[in-house]
Amino acid sequence: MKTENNDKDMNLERTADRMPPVGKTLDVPDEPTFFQESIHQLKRNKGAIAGLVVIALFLAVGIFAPYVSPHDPLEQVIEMRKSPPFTEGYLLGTDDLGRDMLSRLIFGARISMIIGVVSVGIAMFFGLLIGVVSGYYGGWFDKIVMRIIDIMLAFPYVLLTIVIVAILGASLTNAMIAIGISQIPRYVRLVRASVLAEKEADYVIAERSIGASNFELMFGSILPNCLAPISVQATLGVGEAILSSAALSFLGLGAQPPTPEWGLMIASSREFITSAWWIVTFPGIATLFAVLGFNLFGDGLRDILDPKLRD
Amino acid sequence: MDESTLLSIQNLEVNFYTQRGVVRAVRDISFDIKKGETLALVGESGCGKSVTAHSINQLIPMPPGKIDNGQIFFEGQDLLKLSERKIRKLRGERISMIFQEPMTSLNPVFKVGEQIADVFLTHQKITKQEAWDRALKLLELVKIPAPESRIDSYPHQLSGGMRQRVMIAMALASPEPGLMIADEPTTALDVTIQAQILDLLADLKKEISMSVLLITHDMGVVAETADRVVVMYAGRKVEEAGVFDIFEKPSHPYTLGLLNSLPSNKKYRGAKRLEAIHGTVPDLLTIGDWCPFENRCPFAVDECRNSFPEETSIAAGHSTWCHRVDDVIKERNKT
Repeated sequence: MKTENNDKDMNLERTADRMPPVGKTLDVPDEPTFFQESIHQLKRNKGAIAGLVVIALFLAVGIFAPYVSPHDPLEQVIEMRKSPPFTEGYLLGTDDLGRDMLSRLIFGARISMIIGVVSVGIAMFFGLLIGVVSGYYGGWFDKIVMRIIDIMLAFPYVLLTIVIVAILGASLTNAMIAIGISQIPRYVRLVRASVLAEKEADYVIAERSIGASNFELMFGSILPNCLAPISVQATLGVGEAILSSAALSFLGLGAQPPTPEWGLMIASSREFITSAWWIVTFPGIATLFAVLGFNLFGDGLRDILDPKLRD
Repeated sequence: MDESTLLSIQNLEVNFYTQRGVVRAVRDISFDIKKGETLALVGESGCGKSVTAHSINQLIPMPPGKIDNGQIFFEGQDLLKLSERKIRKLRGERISMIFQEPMTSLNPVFKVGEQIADVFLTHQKITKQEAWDRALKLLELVKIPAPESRIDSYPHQLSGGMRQRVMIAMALASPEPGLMIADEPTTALDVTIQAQILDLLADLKKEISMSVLLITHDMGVVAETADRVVVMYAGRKVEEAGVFDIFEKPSHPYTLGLLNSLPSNKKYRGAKRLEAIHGTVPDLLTIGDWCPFENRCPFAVDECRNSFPEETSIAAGHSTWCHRVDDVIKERNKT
């Protein structure tokens, strides 16, 4: 570093001999990045690891469904109907129409993952948008939004979903939209609360003082600081969306036959629960594990992202 | 207006309309800042110095705040008449700020390099790589050790002094810095770091030739950095003078009190104990139109409770607002 030769620098030069030159060879130890630190925390959280493994498994199976499933999920082999598990060629048996259970479960995984991601995507998009604007601007917009949210939360969650599907018409797409809409309120509340806390922070004023617009402040500065609780909520939300869509399909309001959707599979086979238990049991177990996986990972994520719980 | 004047505040009045009533935060404040000059705005907490500074680039929360009167001319144009869009362009482009709390004034989720580069990207059409390179140059300019690795740090990995350097770098990232508002830049730092930051600011000012509006309550900082001083009390300007006159010839009872409460001022070292100014600051909600220092002032007479004094010019560039200025000067000269 070049500085003018005045008295002060002369003094500094005397001590400078014993010190490494500033800015050149001084070693700054590499501190772990936030990502590395999170991975480290994740490794120590067995529940989260288990959840992540289950999610990864379901995701992989869902993505590669056509390659890993032994049969066409819709192909009916009438002479093989209601074969029990471990029948030759049918590892998990067949259902009442002679369709391969395993293949149907695999394609069901694909559908469930899509439902989870799309519904949470819809809920997050609108939830974040409304929550950030509402928390940032406040005033009459905030008041109106919060009252609407209160009304939505006054409905039982499943009932609200059913009402929306009833209005839109029964189909898998509409079920996803309905689940998405019913999940919006929780994101709005969560995001609004975080934004209210963050918007008073000094860095917001500091960034305003260098010319950031309201839009940049809302979505560029404040929102990234609120992402930890949101990502936890989103992970848990995927599990809940899968469960809700199974419930809707069970009630006949979601996927329609012959779609291999888990809830629908349970619904259409519940009369065989005593005679052919596997037809109704396996979709239930699949749903259980998928939801459990997301819940475990979500809980783990909460511990990882919350600095207060770190040691 | 004079060519050499960069910023001119005239008759600024800022009120906060709260549920308890109207808080008269800033009343009839006027001062000029010349190009390349450092003006210190001095006063205790809550005297309106930050509100005055934040009015310049309109960062006071509105509502409840409202600028009810006055003009703020920056290079000849009245900032209070500009649209939000034009003000936003000025912020960071010509008028930048550094803040009191370096611990919380940086966004915790972004690397410091990104935050500095962001200022470039907001105001200039350059590529991300160019912005990053310039950010690195600025970190070198503000003398952060090992800037190549520090540019990748997150704010929580830096010390308070380094963060304040980053803040200064952000303030310097404007394309043509005109005015830097430094809102108590050293209050939250250790004394040794304070000195380093003040040296840095002084060096940079020489290098870049910008004006600085320094807000502080620390007379030591004033003595070290300011060219001219405006003393504020309870929303009013009570004295304005060059930095030598403020310390050598204080002519307002409040300025006198401030200097008497300093531990190491040569002229007043005789006193064994530090002298405090007795009493408390008047409530800005119920404050009247008379001299706000009246209830704490040893010189106060009935006249002080009737009206706010007119300007008394003591010398060129040295004015005070006190009914009893002659007695104050007499008293000062005794000691």
